[in-house]
Amino acid sequence: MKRPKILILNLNPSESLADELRCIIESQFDVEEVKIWQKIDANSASTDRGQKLAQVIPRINPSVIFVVQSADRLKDTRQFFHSLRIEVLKIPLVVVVDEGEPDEMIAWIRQLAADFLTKPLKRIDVLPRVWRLLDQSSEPESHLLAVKKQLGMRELIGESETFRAQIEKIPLVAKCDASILITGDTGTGKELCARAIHYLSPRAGRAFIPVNCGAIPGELVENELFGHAAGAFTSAKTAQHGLIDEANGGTLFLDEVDCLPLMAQVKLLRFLQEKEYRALGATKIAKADLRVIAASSLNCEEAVREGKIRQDLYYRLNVILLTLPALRDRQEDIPLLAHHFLNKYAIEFDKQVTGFSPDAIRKLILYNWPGNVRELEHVIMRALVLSAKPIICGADIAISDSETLPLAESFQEAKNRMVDQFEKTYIKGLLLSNHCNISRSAKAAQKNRRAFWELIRKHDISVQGLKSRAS
Amino acid sequence: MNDEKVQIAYEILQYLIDNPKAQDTLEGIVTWWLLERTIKQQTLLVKEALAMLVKDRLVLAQTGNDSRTHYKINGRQRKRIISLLQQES
Repeated sequence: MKRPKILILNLNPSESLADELRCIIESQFDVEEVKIWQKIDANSASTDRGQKLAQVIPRINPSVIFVVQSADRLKDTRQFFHSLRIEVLKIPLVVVVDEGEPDEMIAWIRQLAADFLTKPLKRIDVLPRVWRLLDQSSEPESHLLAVKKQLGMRELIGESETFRAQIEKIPLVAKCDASILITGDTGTGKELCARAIHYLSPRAGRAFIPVNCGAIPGELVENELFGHAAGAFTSAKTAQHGLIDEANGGTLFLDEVDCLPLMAQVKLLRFLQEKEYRALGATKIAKADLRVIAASSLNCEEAVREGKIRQDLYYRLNVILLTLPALRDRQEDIPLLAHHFLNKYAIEFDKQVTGFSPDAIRKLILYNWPGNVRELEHVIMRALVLSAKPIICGADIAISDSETLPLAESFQEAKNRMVDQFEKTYIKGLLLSNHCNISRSAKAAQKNRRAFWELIRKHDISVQGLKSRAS
Repeated sequence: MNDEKVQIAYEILQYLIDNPKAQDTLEGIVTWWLLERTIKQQTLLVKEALAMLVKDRLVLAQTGNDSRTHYKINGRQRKRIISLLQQES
């Protein structure tokens, strides 16, 4: 049988990344490498160089293309490929980069890439990806996957823009194999998202293992994750597999990853890099091929600064970031979710309850929801169980008054709140797009530097924090 | 066990036979395993029903250049279809 041909498009020949990649894939596939020394960007597509490149790809006719590039030139390269608009872009494309920047990676996956890899390159990382892509490209998106995408995603309820922006990333990130970090307050649906990613990915049909790291006593975490050999400690009479072994081939979901003791974080990082680990007391190294999705309800950058999460682990996990909004930040979804839970529990408890009174809806909307969607679900379930009427009214909704926004917020108060919100988002966005340079950001906002600085202080924006996020 | 429970039990077992390495909690089984089984079963049933209708010449099947088959009503059999539907109701 003819071996599949792989093309390495080396756009960063001064680095050894392409050589490492070539060594790994040459053992299994025919490899052809094209080195391009010149910088390419959106304008290059119309030049001779761009045209030659556009011709060389169909001539080689590869089954998979690896694009090796440095992180700082990734955006230009994406724009170049995007402007090519040629048939070759139907070939699965894997981006290989020294280190990834989550937003740019999402942009690649949205527009062009099937997957991507970051340093260090490992056989166990690279080869299964290629086999998976070859399997996928040999058959179009199956009917089952298309329907699953449509129906399964219906579990993620919400129409607000902030929520949709995150949820729409799920089918895109599901098809690649990169680590994902999901952040969001407790009860915002992190596990639902992780599960959707698993079942829409090529790993569906294998194990999905959710683990709440916060619920495992610190001294048992390593044993739980990596397992132990017989005799590893006094009560270890027989060997026991860990969760990593259980999840082999599938997905391991580490919720509250910030609760992992630092020693376990080191071991997890090593596993993520090498795809191999050693069970407690074992002499042999074990291998596992799985995808890790981590989640935290903390601000992870702060957790890194406070030493709760190791910085190197954070970078390894945060290849793709999903940030789920709190329920109070998507108030427009509250009635939708409330009706969803009402229908769900009306069937389960066999109650003839059909809807909510206007005062019940108002009460739900004005509540702060510190426990987010999970709290809303429990409140609706309780109201339904205790209600004897066909309509749930305000008095049936048992929520604390201390978390309820003032009912009679004046127009001016509401306006001030929105202006505050807008100013904060606007300034943060401007700073991020200007590499946190205050003078340049002020100029772009057409404000003087001093007034701009006052706004930064008013909203307590940490420029240093943004800088570390942008770098 | 009642019929519905037995049916679901069989569906879970079938999923596990099809995917011997699968593992998940209740939430995942409800949302994803059973969804997948339902889609597969429905697809199979619809496929068989369509084959029967095409064989009876009540529905026409046309394969396009993209190799996908499109189904449409056989206009010449309209009266027969209406009478079949009336009989059924």
